[in-house]
Amino acid sequence: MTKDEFYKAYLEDPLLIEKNYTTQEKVNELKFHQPTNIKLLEVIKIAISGSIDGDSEAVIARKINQSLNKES
Amino acid sequence: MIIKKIELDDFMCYAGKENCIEFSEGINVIIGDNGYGKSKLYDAFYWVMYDQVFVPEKKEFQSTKSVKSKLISDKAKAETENGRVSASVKITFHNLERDSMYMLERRYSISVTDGNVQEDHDGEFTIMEKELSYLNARMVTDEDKKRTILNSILPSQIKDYLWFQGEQVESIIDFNKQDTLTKAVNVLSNISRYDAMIEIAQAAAKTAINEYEREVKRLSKDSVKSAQLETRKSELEGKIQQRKREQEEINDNLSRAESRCEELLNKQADAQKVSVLQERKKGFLSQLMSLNQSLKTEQVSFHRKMFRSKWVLKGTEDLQRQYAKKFSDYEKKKLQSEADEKARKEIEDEVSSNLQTRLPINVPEPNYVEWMLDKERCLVCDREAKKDTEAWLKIKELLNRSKEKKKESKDSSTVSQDFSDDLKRLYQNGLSLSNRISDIDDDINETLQRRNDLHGRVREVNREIENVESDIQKLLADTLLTSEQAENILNEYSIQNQKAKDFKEDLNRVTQEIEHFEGLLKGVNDQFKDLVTGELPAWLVEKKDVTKDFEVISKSTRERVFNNLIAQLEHEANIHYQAMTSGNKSTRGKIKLRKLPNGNYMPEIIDSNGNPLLGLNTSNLILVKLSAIMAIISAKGNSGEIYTLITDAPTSVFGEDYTIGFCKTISKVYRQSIIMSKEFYKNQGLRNELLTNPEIKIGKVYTITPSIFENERADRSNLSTKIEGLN
Repeated sequence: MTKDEFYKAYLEDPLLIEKNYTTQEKVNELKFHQPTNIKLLEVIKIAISGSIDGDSEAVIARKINQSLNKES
Repeated sequence: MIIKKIELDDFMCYAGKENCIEFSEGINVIIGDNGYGKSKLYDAFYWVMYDQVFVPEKKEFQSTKSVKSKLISDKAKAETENGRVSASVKITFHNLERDSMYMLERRYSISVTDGNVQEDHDGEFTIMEKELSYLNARMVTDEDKKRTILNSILPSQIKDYLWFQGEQVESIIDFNKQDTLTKAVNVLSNISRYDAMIEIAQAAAKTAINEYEREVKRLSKDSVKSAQLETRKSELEGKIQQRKREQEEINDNLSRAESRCEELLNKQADAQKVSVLQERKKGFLSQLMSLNQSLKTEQVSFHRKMFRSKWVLKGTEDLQRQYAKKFSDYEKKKLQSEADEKARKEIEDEVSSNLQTRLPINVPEPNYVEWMLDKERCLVCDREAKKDTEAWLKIKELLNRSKEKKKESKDSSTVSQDFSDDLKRLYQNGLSLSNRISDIDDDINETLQRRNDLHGRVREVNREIENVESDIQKLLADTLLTSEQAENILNEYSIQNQKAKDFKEDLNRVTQEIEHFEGLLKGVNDQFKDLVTGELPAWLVEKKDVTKDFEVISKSTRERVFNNLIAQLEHEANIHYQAMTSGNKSTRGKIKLRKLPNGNYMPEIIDSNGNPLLGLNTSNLILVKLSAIMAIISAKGNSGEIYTLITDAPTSVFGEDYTIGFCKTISKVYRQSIIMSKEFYKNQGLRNELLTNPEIKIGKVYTITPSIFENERADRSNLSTKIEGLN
């Protein structure tokens, strides 16, 4: 399974639209390597990259937290 | 990767060095009756890949270290007095995409010295690799690479769905184990990656919430109140955790009870069948007892009839005729003799009468006659009668007259012993008996016929009893029921049903408690917020919200993907189920994978209205399982990987009706399959259809025949197996 296929599975989640993270039109065009300003999607991408690359769960969780810190 | 060929040298019943079976794409079928070596061929494949063979006595796979010299052909061992004897199996795999080849060979040897065998501790395993099929092969020595090659040939996680024996179908998809399908979904998908994502999201969310709560506490205007709230919060969280664990446990129990109820409902029909069969068996046993009693009576009566029904006279017809003739002769002779006697008497009477005119008998008296003979003179007429003259002889006649009379009377006394009446009675008796001789054959035939009929009926009833017993045992084995369980199934159903009801009540109670505690927890969190002086950092609130949403989205995505996979599995399973059952009109319904309270799935058959069908027969259940196995492989089919299906007697559990449907289906699902089957052995029609049906992509077809049949194998030292290609 590629990162993009993995990513697509999360993009299908209705919560993204319900909570106004993005719109259906934009979701259809999103690609894994395409940057977004949506923090939730960036968090998902960090988790996918770490998971596919074989990083440990703790390492990935730390990367996510760092990405969401004030300084980031 | 497909299998090009397998070469067996002195492996088990495959004696000799020329046992080579080549395969092509499509269905390759090895045909043989029971005991012909099909399972040993399956063992050969399994041995090479896993260093194990199936030991029927133990009903388990055992390694080379345990089986040792049993791997080697008895013929090869018998023919070797001194030297090394080996069994080896070599399988050639061909990677069609890369045109590379792997030759996997396993060998086990023993040393024989003057008939004494010394077994090697273990076997040898080698892998030869050809990077391109036309290049020379080189040995793979790196153990990691060997493992990689083995895994690429047959990945361990899908091995169970690709290499199996007919009887293993039950355990591969075990309806009693609720996570069977969940495991299958894990095999056909990367669902575990989604599970990992949930754990990542939970860890990130936990870190974020801890950070957030620390900040809330730091900004609190009432530290004492905050401390109290903190304690209360921990207490509530503990209770929620405990209830959630309880909820999980109840869900598991509920799932188990519901599954058991359904299983029992399905088995109820089987249990009733068992009960009906047992009643039939009782009836047959009673019939058998009565027949045996009749047979015993008939046997005793058979001996008595020798005399009572005069069977001993059989074959004496000629004796009676002979006796009649003799009796007739006797009677004739007697009559003749009486007539002669009468005539003689008449003559004698006449003579006597004549003599009476001259001299009465004893006149003169004999002493005077003697005196006259001495004096040579007749005193009656007073004339001279010289010795030996006519006159002297006449006088002498007077003397012999009385002697002759006595002698005659003696002769006539023998004639007077008359057995005629006795002989006549014997004749009449014989005559009356001889009239019955002609009926004896019919009587004997009727008796023998009656006895044969009785024997026939005994045999028939015994056969019926055997059939019924076999049906009962098969049903019991298929349904995993014992006779007692079959009888108690309704009781068990009501117990399980009650359990399910109780668990549902428990579940409602615990769910309500969780909701209650979560409400209280929310209140505590709100109170925490109220204590905050100033404003919480926006980035921290966002971090908390985003990670929380990530946690939610990771769970819902996992569930959605899993449900899609289940739907895909269900769809694929139904395609295979319909295809396999198309040849049988009695098969009904479609497969539905029903979600259990604990999140696992259970296959069931539903009707067109979506209602579960109960009382499925064993064939249906096995077909559902095979459909699920094929679905796992076919749903994975677009992954580009090619694996060979190898299965020993896959259709033996559901009979010939489904065999062609099965072959058509595996034609579509597997690029290559190797099937050992007995169904095509006796049924020529089925074999012809296999070879000619355009919907079956046929590969190579072979028959295997042992040199000595199973029931004559007291001595296996000459056992070998003949392999013949049919196409």
